[in-house]
Parts: sequence; C-alpha cells; structure tokens
Amino acid sequence: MEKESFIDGVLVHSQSSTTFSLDSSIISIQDLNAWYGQTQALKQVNLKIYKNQITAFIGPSGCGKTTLLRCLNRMNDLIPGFDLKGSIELQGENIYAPGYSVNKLRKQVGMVFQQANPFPQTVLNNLKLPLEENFRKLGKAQLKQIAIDKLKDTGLLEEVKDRLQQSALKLSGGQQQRLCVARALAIDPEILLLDEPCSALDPISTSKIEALLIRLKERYSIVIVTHNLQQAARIADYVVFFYQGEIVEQGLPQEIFITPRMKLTSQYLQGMF
Amino acid sequence: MQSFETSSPEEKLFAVRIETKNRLNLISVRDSISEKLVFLLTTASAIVIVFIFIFIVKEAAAVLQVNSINFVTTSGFDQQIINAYNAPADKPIWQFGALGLLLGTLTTTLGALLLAVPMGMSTAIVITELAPVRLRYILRIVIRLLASIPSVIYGLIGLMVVVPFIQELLISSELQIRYIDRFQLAGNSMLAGIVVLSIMIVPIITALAVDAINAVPHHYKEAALALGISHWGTILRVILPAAKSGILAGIILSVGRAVGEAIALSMVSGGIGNIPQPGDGMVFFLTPVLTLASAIVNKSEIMSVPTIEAALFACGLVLLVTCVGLSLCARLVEYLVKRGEGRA
Amino acid sequence: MLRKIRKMVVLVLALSMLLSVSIPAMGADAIAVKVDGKKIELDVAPVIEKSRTLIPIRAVVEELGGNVIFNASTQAISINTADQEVKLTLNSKQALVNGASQELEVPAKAVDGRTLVPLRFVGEALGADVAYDAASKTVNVKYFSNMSGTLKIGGSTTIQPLAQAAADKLMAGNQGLSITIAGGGSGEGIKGVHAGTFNIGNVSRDLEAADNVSYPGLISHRIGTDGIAVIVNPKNTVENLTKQQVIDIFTGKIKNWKELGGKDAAIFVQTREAGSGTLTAFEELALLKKSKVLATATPHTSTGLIKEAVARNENAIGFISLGYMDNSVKAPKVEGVSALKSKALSKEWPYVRSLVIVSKGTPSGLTAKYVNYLLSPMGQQIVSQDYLPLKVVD
Ligand SMILES: Nc1ncnc2c1ncn2[C@@H]1O[C@H](COP(=O)(O)OP(=O)(O)OP(=O)(O)O)[C@@H](O)[C@H]1O
Ligand SMILES: [Mg+2]
Repeated sequence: MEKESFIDGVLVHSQSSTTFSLDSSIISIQDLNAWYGQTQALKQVNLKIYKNQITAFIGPSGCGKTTLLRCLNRMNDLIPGFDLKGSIELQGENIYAPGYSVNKLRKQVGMVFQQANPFPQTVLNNLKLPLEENFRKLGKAQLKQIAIDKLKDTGLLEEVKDRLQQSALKLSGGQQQRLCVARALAIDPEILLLDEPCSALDPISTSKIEALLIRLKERYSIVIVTHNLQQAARIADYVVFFYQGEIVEQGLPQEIFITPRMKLTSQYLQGMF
Repeated sequence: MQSFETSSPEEKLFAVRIETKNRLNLISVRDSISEKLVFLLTTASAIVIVFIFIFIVKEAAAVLQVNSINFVTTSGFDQQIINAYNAPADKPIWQFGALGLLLGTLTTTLGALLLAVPMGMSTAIVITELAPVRLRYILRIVIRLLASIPSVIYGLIGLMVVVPFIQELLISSELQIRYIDRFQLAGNSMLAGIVVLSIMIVPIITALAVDAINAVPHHYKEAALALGISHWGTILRVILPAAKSGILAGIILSVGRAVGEAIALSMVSGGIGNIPQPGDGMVFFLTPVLTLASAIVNKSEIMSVPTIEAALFACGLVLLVTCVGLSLCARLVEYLVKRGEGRA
Repeated sequence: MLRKIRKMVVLVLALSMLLSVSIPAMGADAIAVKVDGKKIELDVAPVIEKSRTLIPIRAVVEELGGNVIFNASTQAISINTADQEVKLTLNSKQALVNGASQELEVPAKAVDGRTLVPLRFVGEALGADVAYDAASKTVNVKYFSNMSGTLKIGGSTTIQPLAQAAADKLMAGNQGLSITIAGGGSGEGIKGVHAGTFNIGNVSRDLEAADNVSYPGLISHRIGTDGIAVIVNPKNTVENLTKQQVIDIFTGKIKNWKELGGKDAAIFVQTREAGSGTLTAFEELALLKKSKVLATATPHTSTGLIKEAVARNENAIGFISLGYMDNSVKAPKVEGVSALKSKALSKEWPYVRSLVIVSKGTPSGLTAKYVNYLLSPMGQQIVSQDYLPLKVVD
C-alpha cells in the first residue's frame, strides 16, 4: 500500500507496515483549499481517512486542524464567509455536491468538540434527544436501552447511573466529555471526529478517553485532533502533521515520531515552536 | 515606575508593597461603600413595596371587612358603584362584588397570552434563526419600537380597527337584538380586549425572547446540528429549552402589563363588568367586559366618595394579588420544567 | 338735464359718506381710552370739562364685566358689576356708590343724545386704576391687569376646563396672581364655598331652595348655559323624539329602533360614567330625576368618547353638551324643537341647565374680579368655546 502527497513540490511516501493495515479509506480529501473570508486556512490538502483506524491531526495552533475536521461534517457551513474548493468524498460520494443531505452526512460523521458541550438538560435527555430526532420510530424502552448502552460503551454508566435525571452540566469535565462521546455514538455514526477532546482533562480522565477510543475503533473510524504528542503516539494508527494550512507530513506514528522526513516535523516534535 | 530606577531593590520592594497596600485599601473601601449602597437601595425598594401593600390594604380595609370573600365571588360592580355614588352621605353603601372584573381581567389576559405567546415566539425564532442577517437587524429595531408605543395608541387602533372588524365579521343584527337585554354586542368585547392586549404584548414577548435566544451559547446549536438534528429540531429541542428562563421572564413581564393595562382595555373591551357565560358559545368572547385596572381608572372620577374609594382600592388589592399569583404560577412552571431537566 | 341731476346726487351722497366717516375718526384722535391695554372703540368722542374726561361709559363698563342701565324718564344711570353699584343722575352732582352718597365735580351730561359720564369717578368707584397719559392723550384703565394674591376655585367638572382657561389667561397677565381650580362636582363647589375652602364654587345648575337651606348666604352669578342634546348616528333615520320616548329609550323600555320608525335594529344606549356632570344633568333634565340610565348602557369617561361611540355605531344613542355638537353626530328634534343653541338660551329646548359660579355673600376683591372677568367679553368668549354664553347667535 502506498500513499502520495505533494508538499512544496516534495514527494512524500508513507508506507504500510506489518502492524498496520490501511485496507480501505472511508474518506478521501482531494486538493482541498479553504478560506475564512480573505484568509486561507487550508492549502491543497490531500488526505485519506482509513476505516477502523485512529487518525491523529497534529500541528501548531492555528494551522488548520479544526478547520479540516469541521469540513468533514460540513460544520463550517455555519460560518459566514467560509469558502471551500476541492472535494471530500465519503464512501465515494462528494459531500459538498449540491443536493447532498447535510443532516444525513452528520448522522454518519459524528463530532465531539474541543469543549464539552452537553445540552443543558438531564444526562439521559442528552442521549435521548438525538435519538428521538433522528430515529422517530424508536419506542421508549428502546431509546432508554440505547442510551444505557452508549453510557456503558463510554464507561460512564457506573459513574452516573444514579444521576441520569440530573442536569448534565453537573457532571465533571471529563464525564461531560465522555457523555458527548456517548451522545455522538448514540446516533450510530461511521466516523467519529474529536477535536482536542482531552485538552481540559486530567490524566485519569484522559486515559479513560484514550482507552475508550481504542475500544471504539473496532466499530468506528476515528479522527482526533490533539496537541498531546504522547497521546497521538499512544493511540494513533496514522498521523498527519499540519503547518500553516498545509500537510507537511503524514504517515504511521513510528515514522512521524521516530524518523520524520521533514525538518519542520522534527522541529515541531522537539518543541521548537 | 520611573522614580524607582534610582532607588535600591529593598526600597523598590517597600514602595511597591506600600502602593499595593494603599490600592488594596482603596479597593476595599470602594467595595464596602458600593456594597452598602446596594444594600441600602435594595432595602429601600423593599420597604417601598411593603408600604404600598400596607397602604392599599388599609385603604381597602372597610370594603373588605364588609364584603370579605364575597368581594371576589359576587358580581354587579357597575351598578353597586352607581348606587354607592347616589347614596346619601349618612347612609353609605358598602356592598361591592368584583367577580365580573376579576373574570374580565383573567379572560382577557389569558386569551391574550394564548394568542401572543405563539406569535411572539415565532417572530423571535424568525428574527434569530431564519431571517437574512440584515432583515434581522431591521426587525429587531421594529420590535423594540413597537414595545415602547404607549398603550393609548394601541387602544385607539383597537377602537378604529379591531372593534369595527369584530362587529362586521362576527355580529349580526339578529344577534344584537337577541342579546340586547343582557348586553350590547357592538364589537367592544372581551375578544377586542384580547386582540388589542396581544398586539400590545407580542413585541414584549418577542423582544425578550430574541435576547434570550441570542444568549444561548452557540455551542449548544453546534452540538445539535453536529448530531444530524435538523435546524427546526435544533430550535425546538435545544435552543428554545435553553432560552426558556429568559422567554418565561418575557411572558411574566407581559402578563404584568396585560393584567395592569387600563387605558387600552377600557377603550375597547366594553366598559361593563359582565360575566361571560360559556353557555353562550361564540358570544362568550363577544361579551363586553371590564377589567380591574380599567375599572379603577374609569371610576376614579368619583373617588371622592369614601365607599367608592375603598372599593377601588380593594380592586387594586385584588389586582396586586392576581399579579403575584400569576407570577408565582410562572415560577412554579419554571420549577417544574427545571425539575424535568434535573436542574432543580 | 336729468343726467346732470343724477350726477349731482351721486356726488353729494359720496361726499356726505366721506364726511360722516371722517368725523368720528377725528374725534377719536383726540383722546383714547384703553382698558387693560386694549383700546376701546367709543361711538361719541370724549369731552373734557374742568380737566375731567367724560365718555360714553357703556363700552368700558362692559369690558369690566359690568352693565349699564339708563332710565330715560328719571334720567338715572345705574352701573353694576358683581361687587359695585354706582348710581348717577344726569346733570346732578350727587352720586351713590353702593348706597353711599358722593359728590361729583362734574356731573354726567347728555351730548348729541348720548350720555357722557366722568370716567375717573366711575372707574375708581368700580375698583379700577385710572390714569391719564398726557403724552399719548390716553386714559389707561387697569382692572384685570393689576390683580395679585391667591384664589381657590372648585366644583363642577363641567365648568372646570373653562375656569382653568380663564385662570390661565388671568395668571398670564398678572405676575403675583395664583388661581387653583379643583373638580369634585357641583355639590363640592357649593359645600366648598360655604366652608371657605373655595372662594368661588363652580356649579352646573341653578341654586335650589334646598341649597339655600343647607348652605345659606351664597350668591350665584350665571356665566352661561349648558344645553344637552340627545345624539344619534348621522345615518339614523329617526328625526323626531318625544320627551317620553327619550325616557323610554334611556331606561330600556324601548329597545328597537323600529319602535321609533327606524330600522329593525337594537338600540345601543351610550352613557357616561357615574360622577359625570353631563350624566347627572341628563338624568335630572331628561329622566326627570326619577330614573337612571339603564344598566346595560355602555359608559364612557368623556364627551369625546361617547360622541366617538355614537359616530361609529349606527344604532347608538347618547347625550352630550350642546356646545360639543358637530356633524359627526346628529341631534334629533325633541318635541319638535331643534337642538339649537338659541333654542337652549330661550329655554325652548327641554334639556337646559345653567352654569353658575357662586360666592359666599357679595364678592369682593379678587373674587369679584374673577366673577367680573367671566362676565366680560373675554370671559364670555371662553365660555362660548364649550357652552352657550349669556348672549348667543345661532
Ligand atoms: N471562524 C473563523 N473565522 C475566521 N478565521 C478563522 C475562523 N476559525 C479559524 N480561523 C482561522 O483559520 C486558521 C485555522 O484555524 P483552526 O481553528 O483550524 O486552527 P487549529 O489548527 O484548530 O488551531 P488550534 O490548535 O489552536 O485549535 C487560523 O488562522 C484561524 O485564525
Ligand atoms: Mg482547533
């Protein structure tokens, strides 16, 4: 398996390893450029997201990681002045094609935001609400069952089982973030996007989420933005390094972290900027 | 800072310390002054409210003693006022029953709420979520303007437009003849009152709902949309519930305005304290009614008669209690909703 | 020849007209009389005798709110205001001021069939300041422009607005003057004057015998008349009502216009809120104090609103002061009499009441001046804005 991408005219190869199988991609991004008004946030991005793998986006602040992530479920549509060229294909279909259903897309591509944002409602409602809105045929018992299952999946059930009827805002930050993961999983997406989900969490909560992601990748394809390089090394199957809106280097974690090809990458890894 | 350059490090440190200490002192003095001021003002306004309440109860006492609970369970206020006015000074008449006025107040207010809340809410949703950005801005200005129009203007519009419209559309000559012994079906009615009141309070409800919706953090909306929930689903299930307190505040405020509205209602609602009979069918809404606040204003010309003065103060007391009751109801609703959300 | 004569006649006529115009003009040029700064037109030129100015007094006295009666057979001149009475006799040096005899330096005399009276003597007897300004050859009489002090007025809400208008005018012309106007109703006006809380009571009816018993010693001064018209919508075809029909309509015995020859429609009686002076007057005058307007009548808080309601509703009937009539509503005849102001003054119109102001005893000082003001042309002009003044033309 071989991947190619052009950065500043340099051909970069990333090769498959024995421990890592990049069987098939679920998302394919081609020649993506994005602007906020006049400022260009993404330049010529070419990238594939692989099925049942964890892909990590790393790079300095402001390099466009969030922007790319939000392109994948078209959340940037909400931002006035946002413009985009190029194509993003989800299972072979261009999600920016006219007539493509955004709601359907977002059901397939779940998202967890940098800041935990549970609805200001009960814990249970946070899970039931997206289910009720998306699957109108479900009965009450089914709804509750799915909600409980997702809490179990995220390892939250034990911690909150007595507080299902309390406001989600009363949970701790880590619990809230896992609730958001559970909520995103409730609608049964194929892809899960996570934007720095652990940035505000303590090491214990962080490791809980990491364990959760590793478990989840059996069923979901995961994209995670992180500033925590150790975290990327621990959980990522594929790492993409961004700098000023461009992909500088992408590949397996061991390649990126141990033998980076690009000078920029090694400088970043050494904390030089 | 310049002056520190020449001095020794110890001196510098000392100077900084003193400066900090002085500043801390100043800040604490300022804080304690403003704290005391706030406390003073709060107590003052609380005392004023208590005094108003005591004053009204005192003025109304005579009528309340004579009539006790009958004051709100019997009717005939208009005629009683005329009787009291014509009674000789040495044989004053103290019998009053304001049930008609209470019902007039409740029916017009609740009717107006029933019309105005959905209207105000949908307008607010259009302004905050659906309209193009420039139009939103214009609409907000228009709504603010409408909210500040004095009620006489609404009364005039009601008299010129709403009342004739109701008469043309809903009242036939036969109906008028059929009911002439009980009351005049001339368009001046509970319905006219409801319509005028709702036109009056829609801008209030809208303005406060717009503010409340705009105050909902953007990330709730993003979270909902990212879950594949439709725009309308997001509005109804996430944004509105999150804005609920503010919206409720607007509704309470408008209830206060509706219950207390006198001028506009006395112009369009008929000016007589009939008790609307549900058995009359549609005529229920066409019944001329009088509200507590309108009665106080309309009859205030003859406040010089002590019995009437006391009766009007008693009306004021009922009005006050109704207002308090309605806002307690609203609090209760809020509490129940919150409990449903697990926030209480 | 004939033509020549005709030309001559025209010329003579033209000349004589010119002359007759210029003579009084020349006379007026001699000495002018001003009351409170306003120039008084005199039909006979003043005469100066022994440095006293004699003038035809009527115009000046009326400007002060008083009246002049000349008895040709006794040659007696009687001048009255609310507070003063001056009696003169032609060519006699004897004068009576409020019954006390006084000596005149120059007696009143007749010139060209007109009675001329010494201005300073009469003016000062009535309480005015009289000063002669030699430079402008003007006699300045000050009466309503030299007032100061406070005056409390209250009572009928019918009279209240016109009292306020008069007070505003007076206060605008007098720095140290303060007049307060309160409402409360005619009864309050009578009570207040008797108790001394008011200097003047406004009463929108004539004082009755009962008033004189409970509150003796009051003197009333009529300032105008209020007629009440029954009003209907201009589209209403009913043109004529009897007094009994008016009673039956307003007490609810007649409920349909067809009973009165109109169309088959319910009669919507409009009334005023209790306490309205007009309602009280209407119940007294039209319902003969015996009955009240029916309970289902729609009450209104002002004349404007009741008129509005009748103008808007084809089947409505109501009542307003005649002074407020306009063509937004129609007043049917009652007992064949049209609702005209002149018919009200002549008391042919059935629903008429007097507007009076009362004082405790004969008024004096400020109180008297206020009464005189309302009787003067300026005061009557104010009365005529809403009601019928003492003299009307239709
Ligand atoms: N809503 C917006 N409007 C205008 N410019 C934006 C907007 N959002 C992001 N940008 C700009 O686009 C560029 C990329 O931003 P982005 O949020 O994608 O960075 P990031 O890699 O996620 O950074 P961080 O690690 O700090 O979250 C930045 O220069 C940023 O200032
Ligand atoms: Mg980011």
